[in-house]
Amino acid sequence: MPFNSILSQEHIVDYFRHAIENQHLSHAYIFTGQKGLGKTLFAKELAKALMCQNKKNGHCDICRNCIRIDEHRHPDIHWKILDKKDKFLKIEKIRDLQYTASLSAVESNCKIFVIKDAERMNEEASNCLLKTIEEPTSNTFFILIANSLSHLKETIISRCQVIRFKPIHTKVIKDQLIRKLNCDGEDIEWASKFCCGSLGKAFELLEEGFFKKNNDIVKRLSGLNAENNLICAKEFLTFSSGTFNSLEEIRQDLKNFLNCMLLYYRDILIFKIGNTNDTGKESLSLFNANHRKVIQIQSKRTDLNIIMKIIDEILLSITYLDYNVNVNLLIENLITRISILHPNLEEPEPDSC
Amino acid sequence: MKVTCDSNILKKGFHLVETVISSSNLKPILQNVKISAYDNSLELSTTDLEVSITYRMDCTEVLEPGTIICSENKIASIIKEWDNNTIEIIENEKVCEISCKDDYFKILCADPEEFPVIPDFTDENYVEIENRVFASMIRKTMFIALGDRTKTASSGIFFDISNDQAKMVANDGRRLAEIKKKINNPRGLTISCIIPTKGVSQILKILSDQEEVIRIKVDEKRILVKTKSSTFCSQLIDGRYPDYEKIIPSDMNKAVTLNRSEFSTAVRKGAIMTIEDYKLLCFKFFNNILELTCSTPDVGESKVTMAIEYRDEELEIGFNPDYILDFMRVVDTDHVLFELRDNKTAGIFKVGDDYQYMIMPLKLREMKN
Repeated sequence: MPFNSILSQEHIVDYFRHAIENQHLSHAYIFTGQKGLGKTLFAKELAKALMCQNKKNGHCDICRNCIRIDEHRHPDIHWKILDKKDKFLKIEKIRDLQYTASLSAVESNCKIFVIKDAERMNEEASNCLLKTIEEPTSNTFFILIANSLSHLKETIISRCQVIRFKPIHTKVIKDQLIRKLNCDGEDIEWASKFCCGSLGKAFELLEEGFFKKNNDIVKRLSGLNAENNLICAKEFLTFSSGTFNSLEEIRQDLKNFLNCMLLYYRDILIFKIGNTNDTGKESLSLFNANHRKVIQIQSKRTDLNIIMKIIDEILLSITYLDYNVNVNLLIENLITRISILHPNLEEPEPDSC
Repeated sequence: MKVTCDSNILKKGFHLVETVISSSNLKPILQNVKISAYDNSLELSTTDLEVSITYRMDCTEVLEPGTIICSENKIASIIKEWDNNTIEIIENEKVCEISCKDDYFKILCADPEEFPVIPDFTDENYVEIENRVFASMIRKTMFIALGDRTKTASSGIFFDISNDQAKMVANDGRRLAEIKKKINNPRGLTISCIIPTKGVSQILKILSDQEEVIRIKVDEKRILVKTKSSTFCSQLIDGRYPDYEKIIPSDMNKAVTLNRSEFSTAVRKGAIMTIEDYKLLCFKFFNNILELTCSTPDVGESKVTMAIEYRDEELEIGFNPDYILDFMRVVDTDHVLFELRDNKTAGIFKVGDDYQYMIMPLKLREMKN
């Protein structure tokens, strides 16, 4: 059967199986859902289902077309991918697409255009695309892959069918990680929880050794005080901007880092609330379960309002990160604020792990 | 693969096929040339997925048939350096070795499977057209269609064959050229397609071969043109060509025959005072006189008169002089007929029965004062 490699998205698979069988495919789709749910993979699978040379049983994965689709080399599938150093998908790419869309297909009977990171199209590019998806030529399919719909223009959304991808269950992710990486450890357990249902992110986290980084962040945050705050901020910045050069890549990395901070304070908050309710059992699991002791101490030491304030500060910083702010100042500012709100005058307890 | 070939012939082949190679490096495989050897001939093919060219050379000695894909730029640079020598090309385990006299090169090749399929010209359902006729049809229309890639259906040249008439039409929204020619169509084929501008200009390049007749074949997706040594293929533009015949005005009541060179000179003189942002030349026809005036704010004025044969009522009409000069450049007769109605209707130039060029008039400003 086709779409076998798609995990936990049965509703979408069913929908497309029917659509292909009855030839009711729409000319434009938006695949939306957070990063790493398999949207790009699904776009590939869909292209294979339409272009495979041995169509009888879905697709074969071994014919020339399938292989070339996998390797992004098929002449009738046009990928428009945001350059890593760019913040926006620019109009030139869409103009290019527009022209190619007007030509007939090279080898197959249909043309497929996949626009990755479609939510990062700027105003001009969106308007340009609008015209093309409004009057599509025959046998042309557009697939817009967007992490969220909120940045896409209303006029584009209304011309496409929106396909929503659901987060993958933690257990499915853990199974996949264990199977693919062939190991089972603390870091896999942590990554499957921390990735919030995104398999792609889980792989990324493991690849970059984010488990260690997270431990590091937790350790430093728990030892934060008004004296070492700037040193701490500098350390965070150097390990997140390490080998990368482009600002956009630093931004993405800092986002991950801020998420680590956010989840750490979320854990403290849960502990705080859980303690006051005195239910005895934990209803929500901790992201940083391996740092339970530190979190426990911190939650005892900190007032509920302060935790909320810190969380607000982090959220605010995450939104600011998308604007053109000086990232160094942003992080220094955040860390300083946290250290003021949350003074760690005593020596931190030794780390539990 | 193992072949030997004369360097001059190879050079000519590479000169032709390299025009197709695109400058963008989005798909690196397209920077390559496919060289296949069989039956004592060597074939060079390149493609950019929009157009592709295959050039066949017969004067080679094929010792071992085969196919290689390797960087066009590299091979062409190597071959350009030699004159009147025999070059030997050997392929071995995806490494291409080129040797000539004392020099030796080794180029790494790509997997032939990765190269896009280049469509073949199959000898059925084709139309034969004289090379000269086809080239002149292209030359007389494509000067309009250059440029704008965003207006899809109008950005190419409409090519149509029905019964024994071939027709090409191009327009850019402000002007339109249509040329019709009688051809031999014994199979009674009907063809109707839009060829992208890039394809058309490439066709002109391969037509420079000294040949009498070329073969043209069109299917749903592409047009193939075959000359003796090369096969050219271009993807077509999807979509219907606008119904242009409706907009050509028919009830023209004024006509004037113009001498081509005199008229061009007059227009060129009149256009001196126009600038890029203000291309307006006013044509006034009255009493056997054509008066061209132009008055550009901040630049100056011009007034040029020429004697013509014109006895209809007076008419003042504005045109973009560039559009007229573009047309005059491709006309190859001494006289053209210019048909007009009023200053809101397009003017039509006619050359013989088969070529017409329509341009939309410009709105005249109040010239008085």
